[in-house]
Parts: sequence; structure tokens; C-alpha cells
Amino acid sequence: MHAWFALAAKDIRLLLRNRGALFFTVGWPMLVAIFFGLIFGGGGGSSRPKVALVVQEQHAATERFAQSVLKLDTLEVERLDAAKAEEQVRQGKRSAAIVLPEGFGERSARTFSGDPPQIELWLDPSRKAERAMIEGMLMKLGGEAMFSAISDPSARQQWLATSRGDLDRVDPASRQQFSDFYDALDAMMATPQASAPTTQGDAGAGAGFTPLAVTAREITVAKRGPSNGFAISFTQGMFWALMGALMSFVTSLVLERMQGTWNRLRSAPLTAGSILLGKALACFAVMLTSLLLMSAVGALVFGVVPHSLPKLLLAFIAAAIAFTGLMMLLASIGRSVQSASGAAWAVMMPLAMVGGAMIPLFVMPPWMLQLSNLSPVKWAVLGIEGAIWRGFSFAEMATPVAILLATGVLCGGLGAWRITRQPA
Amino acid sequence: MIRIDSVRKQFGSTVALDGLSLDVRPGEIFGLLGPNGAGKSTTMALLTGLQTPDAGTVSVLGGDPRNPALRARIGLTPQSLALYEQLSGRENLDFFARMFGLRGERLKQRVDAALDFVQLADRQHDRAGGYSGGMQRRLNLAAAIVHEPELILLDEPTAGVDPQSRNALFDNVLALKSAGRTIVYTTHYMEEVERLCDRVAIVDRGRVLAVDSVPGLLRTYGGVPVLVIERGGRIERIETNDPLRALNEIAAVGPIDTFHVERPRLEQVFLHLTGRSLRD
Ligand SMILES: Nc1ncnc2c1ncn2[C@@H]1O[C@H](COP(=O)(O)OP(=O)(O)OP(=O)(O)O)[C@@H](O)[C@H]1O
Ligand SMILES: [Mg+2]
Repeated sequence: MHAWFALAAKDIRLLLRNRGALFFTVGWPMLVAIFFGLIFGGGGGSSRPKVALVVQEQHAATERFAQSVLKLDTLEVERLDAAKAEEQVRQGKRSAAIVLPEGFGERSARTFSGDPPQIELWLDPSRKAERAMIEGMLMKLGGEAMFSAISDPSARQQWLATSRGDLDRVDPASRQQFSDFYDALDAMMATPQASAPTTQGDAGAGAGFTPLAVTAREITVAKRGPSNGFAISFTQGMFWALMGALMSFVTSLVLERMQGTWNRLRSAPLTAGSILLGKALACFAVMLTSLLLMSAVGALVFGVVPHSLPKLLLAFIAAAIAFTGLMMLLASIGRSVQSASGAAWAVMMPLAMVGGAMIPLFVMPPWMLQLSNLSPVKWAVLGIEGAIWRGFSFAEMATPVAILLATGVLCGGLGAWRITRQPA
Repeated sequence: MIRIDSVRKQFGSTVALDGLSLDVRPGEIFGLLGPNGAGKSTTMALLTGLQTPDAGTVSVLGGDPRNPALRARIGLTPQSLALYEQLSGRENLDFFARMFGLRGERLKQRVDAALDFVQLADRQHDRAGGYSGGMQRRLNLAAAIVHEPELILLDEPTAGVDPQSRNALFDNVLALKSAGRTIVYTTHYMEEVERLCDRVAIVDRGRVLAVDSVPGLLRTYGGVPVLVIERGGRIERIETNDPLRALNEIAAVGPIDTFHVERPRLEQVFLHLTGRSLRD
């Protein structure tokens, strides 16, 4: 145990003192992520969810509410017809559609009686974060709509007339209370000094009142692209982070074996397996750290906020294990640094090319997508994308994660077996 | 301490060891003298379990060196420098000591002691890559003894070292012997063997040609001393086992301008045993 950590600590220290290796595991991936993110037009600071607004009736109150939704600066809203909105949500072009159905205006005029106005949200079931955010904003708008109905004189008169007319529908026990409340409100709001509504209104309304009822309709996204160009470029950058660490450790392992240090380690009371395990541990730690660093910068600076942090961590761990295994196998091929790193490039570049590290998976033609299944790079990219923007469930994550783990164990085992068999 | 019996080791078609047998006694400095490719490093690799014999047996400290617990009692300085150039001298020793299971206070003490031993304490925080060749060789030795092994295997520890560093290394080796360690020392420099080793095995082509103390080897294989005299402008070489008597007899006949005695050296022993010179 102690020996593994000492071995790994030594390798990490060596990496930190090697400027070239450090650049290729941290600097270069970051440059790729930022540079290509800008090319993909990721910028624009548009991390606001794109949302469609569908209005299914003609009603003054509905229209007022629709205008307030359009004015929200936390969402990028466009007014579309129902079919178009549904299509765009299905295609992942918009995260959700806010639908104001028939009867919305009518119901919003009757604040304290009947059902609250209904709003439908059409969105993918995986978009839980967006759903909570949009619902919260709609509730706030609903509350504001009610207050503005009360404070605008003509709207208030209309609202009071409807409300008074509805008194017979209110629970008899509180009928008188509501009637008094409307009178008081009318008198109070008519006085010019009283410009702002007070919280008395809420007190009079009693418990259990909500300005809106939001129901969700699930629309599963057929083929989804990322919301932000940086989401693509940061995934590519993460591949380069894995690749940089892989190359650094292929070099360090081959170098170690060519120098006397390998023999000195082998002459210590350690098995060859545990020496290699120490190397693998260091490689894994460097890969994971580099990936976490990338995702932190991506999230904090470029708005690439992963859809699920635990899933992202899972994808990172699986990808780092796979690449550590590949590192071990590739290091067992060459007997010199040149031949080993040459072989590593020759193997990794085609895998990266078809694996979606250069050409994003979601723009690949079908035949290439088929081919990409053979590349472990694809599964690393898919796992990371799954956690960042594809909104994978844990069940959907299982395939890439399992393939990556299998790759890591098989390649790592084969590589270690080859290395320990080779004479010192 | 060490018993190697009729060991054969082949790499592809190259026969590195061809029935090599050796016995090393506790507390001695045992030399392995032989030309390039004789099989010295291969022997060291067998002694540390890095290689497995194709035939024959290897026993070290009463066991098989492929057993890790036993290797904790052995220290090896590989022929090629086995150091991390990007780590400081101290970091190198600290790391290798950990690999031999040292921890905590004892780890620190042993690293300090090893640095002092090879006189690198003042440069301990500099990167090993920046050390001179001699300093790197000393650090290479320190890394082999940091865990206080009973058996120390030095594979050409003076390669590429100036005379001063070489003397410092000799002092280190002799100090280790005084401390009761057993040392196996390979080299192709006869002077080193003559100066350090209690017993020497002369190896060539994977076989031991002779084992004895240096005087013993010289007696058996070195041939007789040669008395060289110069008189009347002529140089005469007289082979004799008793140069003093021969000199007296000649001096009684007439005056001698100069004289000296050529004693046999290991070079002659090697020539005698193999029919060729050690440095070819
Ligand atoms: N790992 C190996 N693979 C192939 N051949 C080897 C290997 N190790 C040693 N040999 C061969 O075995 C023979 C003995 O080599 P060894 O290194 O033991 O010699 P040596 O006495 O240490 O020589 P030197 O003085 O040059 O260090 C040489 O012919 C060498 O080429
Ligand atoms: Mg050698």
C-alpha cells in the first residue's frame, strides 16, 4: 500500500517537474477547449436556457402573462406555434416549451376561486434542473401578475367585478371574509398614496393558495446537440488531457525501464506488478485531476455546466481507468521512448479520429458512428457528453462506463503481463 | 552467503553464463573481474532475482533471491546510473528507502546517514541531474546502502569517475567492509581488484576461470618475476623466483647501471588464463 503511494507520488512529482509533460496534460487541452469553443461559436455568454412560448388562446390576461414571460432575461424565449415548439423541444433545440392553454386567462381572473391557472411545460424528463428553474420563474410571474391585476385601475375593476361575481362559488364560511377583503382592497388601491400592494392580500387569501399550477408533459429528445459550443470543445479538450497524460506516462514507463531505475526497483522487495500498479495509480490520478480541472474551468468560466455531477465523476473515473490501461499496453510495445511514443500516436490517433474526439459524435454520418463503437475514445467521449449535456440516466451511462472499465482492465492487464514477462 | 552452482543463462542465441559457479563468504569483498560481455552484470541480475537461471541454482543469504523478503537484505548499484535526474539527491534516497520498507524516523535517519556516507549532504537538495559524474556515482552507491543491506552488490561502481571520486568510493567500500558487510564488486580494472578485493573470480565468456586471493592468483598463474638490468648500454631480462640473489650474483661480476624488478600482475594472470589481454 505504502509503496504504491510512494511510487505514484514520485511519478507525479516527476511529471510536475517536466514542463513538456505538464503542458500536454493541462495547458494544451485547455487551449483546445477554449480555441475550438470559440470557433464553434460557443461564446455569446448564452448559457440561458432556450425556451419556446406557446399561447393557445386569445385573452387579455393571457397576453399580459405571455408578454411578461417574453421579457424574462433569465430565459431566451421565442413565441412559436404548438407544433413548431414541440418539434424544437424534441430535437433538443430548445430545452422546454411553456404552454399557456385555453382557459388560462379566464382562470387567472379568478384568483381565489376555482382552480388556479394551468401552465403546461413540455420538456425532456432528464431536464430536471431546467424544469425547477422554469417553474420557479413562472410562479414568480404568476404572483406578480396577480399583484399587477390589483394595482392597475382598469384591470383591478375588471378583476374585482369577476371576483365579486364569483363569491357564490367560494366556500360559504369565508364568503363574507372575501367580500370584505375586496371592498377594503378597492378602497385602499383607489387612494393615490397607496401605490404598492401590501401583504394583507396574502393574509386575507388564506393558506393553500398558489398563483399557478404547472404540469409537465414529457417529450423525449430524439437527437440532442449541446446547448453551448464549449460543451463540445471541452469534451475534446478532455480527450487531449487524457491523451497528454497517456503519452507522458508511456514515456515515463519506457524511460524508467531503460534507465537503471527499473532494475533498482525490481531489486527492491516489490513485485513487478506492484511497481506497475504504482505507475498506473499515478497515471490515473493525473488524468482525473486534469479532467476535474478542465470541467471546473468549463463550468465556472464557459458555462459548460454538467447536467449531473455524480455522472460526470463516474464518466471521468471510467475514462481515466480506460486510458491508464491503454497507457500500460502501449508502454509494453516499444523498447525505446521513440518507438513507444510513435506506436502510441499511431494507435491513438485513428481511435480518436473515429471516436469523436475530433469530429463530434452527433454530427457523424451513420457509418462512422457504427465504426466509432470500436474505439474506446468514443465511449469516453460519450460518457462525458452523457454527463455534461446528453442528460444520460444512470442506465444509459452503464454502457460506456462498462466498456471503459473493461478496456482499462483488459489493456492494463495485458500490458502489465507483457512488461513483467520481458527481461530486465 | 552466496552460492552459485553451475548456472547457465542464455539470451536468444547468446550464452551469457555457461556453467558459472561461485561461493562468496560472509564479510569479504569478492571481486568479479572480466572483460565486457563476460557475464558480470548477468550474475548480479541473478543475485537480485532480476533474472532466473536456465539451469543450475542460485542461493543468496540462504534463500532464493526471487523471494521479495530476502531482497530487502540486499543492496544493488546497477551498472547504469539508476537515479531520477529530476529529483534531488535526498528525494532519490528517500524514495528508494521507502521502496525497501523504511518509514518515519528511521527513514529520515538512514537518508541522512547515507548522504553523509557519500559526502553529499551539502548538495542533498540539488537535482541529481545537475550532479557531476562522480557525485552521481556516489549517490548511486548511497541508494544501494540506504536500507542497510547485509549484502551489497556493486556493478562497476566507478565507471566514468575521476581518480579523486574513485578514491572516495574505495574508502566507502572499505568502510562498508569494516562495518561487517559482504560485498560483491565487479570491474574490469585490475587495480581496483588488487586494492580492494579479498578474493577474486576471473570470469570470461560466462565461466569462472580461477578464484583466489590476488597474491594466490599471481603465485599460481602470474609466472615468475623478471629482473631487468642495464649494464654497458644493454638491457637484460632475467626470469627468477629470487631476484635479490640473482642481482647479487650479477653485481659480483661487474658494475650495473640500473635495475628493477617486474612483478607479475593480474594482467599476466588474465593473459595466461584466456590467451588474450583483458583490455582488448
Ligand atoms: N537482457 C539481455 N538480452 C540479451 N542479451 C543479453 C542481455 N543481458 C546480457 N546479455 C548478453 O549476455 C552477455 C553477458 O552480458 P553482461 O552484461 O552480463 O556482461 P558484463 O560482464 O556485465 O559486461 P560489461 O563489462 O560490458 O558490463 C553479453 O553478450 C550480453 O550481450
Ligand atoms: Mg556489466
